[in-house]
Amino acid sequence: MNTGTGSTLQSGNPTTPGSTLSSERPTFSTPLTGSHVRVRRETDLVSHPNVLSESTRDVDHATEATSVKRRLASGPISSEPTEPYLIDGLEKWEGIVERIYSKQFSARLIRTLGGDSEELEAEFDSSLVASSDRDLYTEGAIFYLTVRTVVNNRGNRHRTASVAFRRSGRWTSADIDKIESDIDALTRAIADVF
Amino acid sequence: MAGLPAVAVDQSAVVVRGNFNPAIFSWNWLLDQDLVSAAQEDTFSTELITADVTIFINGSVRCQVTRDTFQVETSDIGEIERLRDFTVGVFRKLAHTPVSALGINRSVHIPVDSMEIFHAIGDAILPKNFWSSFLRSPGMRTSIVLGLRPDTYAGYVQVGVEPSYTVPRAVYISHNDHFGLKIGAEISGRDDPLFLTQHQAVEPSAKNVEIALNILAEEWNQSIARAHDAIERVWLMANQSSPQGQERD
Repeated sequence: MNTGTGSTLQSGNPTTPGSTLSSERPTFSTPLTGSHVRVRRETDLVSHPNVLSESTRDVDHATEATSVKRRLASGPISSEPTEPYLIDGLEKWEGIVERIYSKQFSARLIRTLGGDSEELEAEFDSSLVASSDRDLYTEGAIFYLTVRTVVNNRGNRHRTASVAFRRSGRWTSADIDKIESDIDALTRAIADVF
Repeated sequence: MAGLPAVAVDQSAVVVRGNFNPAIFSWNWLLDQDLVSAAQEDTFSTELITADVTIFINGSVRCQVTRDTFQVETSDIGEIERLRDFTVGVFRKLAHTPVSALGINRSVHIPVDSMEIFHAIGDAILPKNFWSSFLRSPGMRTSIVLGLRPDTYAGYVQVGVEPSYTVPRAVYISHNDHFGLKIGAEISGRDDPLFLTQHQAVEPSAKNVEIALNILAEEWNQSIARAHDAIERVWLMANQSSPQGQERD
């Protein structure tokens, strides 16, 4: 059964007849065979993960994190793989910056993907913060850490990670008033329960 | 789970359906709303900005807005939270925009070593005994399975498997977490008459923005984990049925 295909909010395989958004994308062009078969232009964001993008801040964090109090993943430390590799693990952590030092920052982290919701504390080199995220880099800032273990075709294991800071837009006084109002309502609701 | 092997393309997207004004999404507006930083100007490019469609790329994130669809996507798994945060930021600012549905999607293209394995995976998903009785060399073009949502929202969860047309001799697996922006009727299972209407469209309304923001705030991590788990399970099941997988067993 395929009842919902025509209305799915899906992107991805650009040739899929059922992928509604694919057919709407003006960047898909050059039919290959048949009316539904299309290919992406190189300008599409379909990069190949086995060639790490220069525009991302993927680095081998293990070489830069100064004193991770608990290892995020096991395996030897080495430079980025530059040849085809296997993804052998993916972990995501959400962190909050606790203290900023001259060259490091400390953070509390909780795992959101790749295992139980374990918590840990870690310190990172501040050079991991991308220049485009520098305005967000303050104590209390939320960031996301993605850790991947990859294996190249010689069987060597590498750990790579990337850090992205939360940017959710400008907060107006109206936004803050609404949040305070919601908190008040929630507090009253909880008080009513007890 | 054993993890995913050799993923050639790993793409994630957040899609919102509604009624939009694409021309709003200019660099200056985004900067003014603090949805981008001035330091990103060098990696920001506007491909198109018109009344009907706007497309821009910000680092590894691509955004496309048409009159009825807002979509942000990335092929960098390390950047997927930016999709969520950007969408939240946009719709906090456009709180009076009528919206109807939200999709959190992930898809991967996994190359395989041989045509034998390629077909074995298709045969595992869709056995060909029946089809071979009247079709010459039948092959699976696509297989899409819908499931009920695991929460109380309207919508469904859809998993698709098909040959990749982007990567040679690769399998494409997609996970579409489709939220209708309302609390759905409780559906007991496949025999429930409502099962057939689970994908029923929700009328666009500005009241739905808050539902979308709540989903992005509260359901995001579960959705990402669900997609990862589903893709791994499909791959594991299909690959175990292949000659390569059977040799390992």
